[in-house]
Amino acid sequence: MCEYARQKGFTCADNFAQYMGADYDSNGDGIVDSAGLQYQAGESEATYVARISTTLRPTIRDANAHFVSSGSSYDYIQSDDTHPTYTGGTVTAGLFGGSTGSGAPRYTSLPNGKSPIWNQYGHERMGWTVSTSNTAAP
Amino acid sequence: MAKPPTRDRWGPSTGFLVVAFGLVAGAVAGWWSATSGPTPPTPQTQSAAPASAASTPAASAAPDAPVPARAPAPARATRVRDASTPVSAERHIARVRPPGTDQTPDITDYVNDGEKPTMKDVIDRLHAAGVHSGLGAFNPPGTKPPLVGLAVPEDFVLPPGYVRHYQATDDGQRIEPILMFAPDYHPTTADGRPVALPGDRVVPPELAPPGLPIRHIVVPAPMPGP
Repeated sequence: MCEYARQKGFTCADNFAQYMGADYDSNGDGIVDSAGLQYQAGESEATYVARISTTLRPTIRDANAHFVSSGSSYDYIQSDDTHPTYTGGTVTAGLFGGSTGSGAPRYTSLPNGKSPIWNQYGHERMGWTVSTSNTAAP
Repeated sequence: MAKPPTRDRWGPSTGFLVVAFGLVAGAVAGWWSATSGPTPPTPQTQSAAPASAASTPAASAAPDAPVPARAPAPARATRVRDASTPVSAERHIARVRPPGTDQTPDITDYVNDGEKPTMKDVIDRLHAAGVHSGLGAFNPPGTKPPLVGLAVPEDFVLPPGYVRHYQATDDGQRIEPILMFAPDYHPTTADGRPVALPGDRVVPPELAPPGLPIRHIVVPAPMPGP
């Protein structure tokens, strides 16, 4: 899918790597796991599959325990075992239409483009990942 | 000799007039009710409609129950029926949609008026009705509930092999971290035998590191909905 995005001029947000790979180098290859698992622009499908299913397979872990360090893990998945976790209020779309709630930003200071909780919840992680490929101005 | 009383002229009978008036009034009332707009379904109608999905007690346990004051809406369903719509799909439709519009059942067909079901209720009922697309494609909340284990204070220094695991409720509340074993931790006894660890890696009190206050976390209660 990321290759199709690249062919269309988009940059892929590889949430598989961001969710399933730890944020430290667990296998000693000199690369943070979540970065090592990312799709590399232009690589072939065979290369990608071999890399994540064989070479880096030991670094893939369930997103129910995403390790931000060797001593701390965060559950990125809600209890339905599907949706990503989040924090704070939500904008709720009712079963019969309409919406309630608000979604004001909670942090105004984003050091290095990261919210203080960027790697603590699934939604926040996804949001940061998407933000990395946006340019500051059109 | 007295003659029997005879009517000396033709004239209307009061009794026949009353009967005729009643018949006309009844016909007009019948025509009016048949051509007026649809009536909101009664509670009996609503509970009976998704009966195939949830097998309501009223339908299954009381065959001799009195007939509802207003009959369920076969006439209304007939009016909007689309010949191309499968019968198996039609049987879930409880509400009247304008003819010519999409008659595909949606979520409102599985929720009675006045109900405010949880998402688990909704998905469970969809699954019971055999619906596994849309919202029914997901597992219900609670499929994999938060783990409950020993609380591990932020200032407690963890020995090797232990991790601090953070979780969140489905409504966005942070849950106090619990103590877990690291995935690659394989402790052994003094004589070298492996120590059996729980499958979920949650540290039980008897395997807690020395100095850790033994206290289980409590998952926060759901916040009030909107």
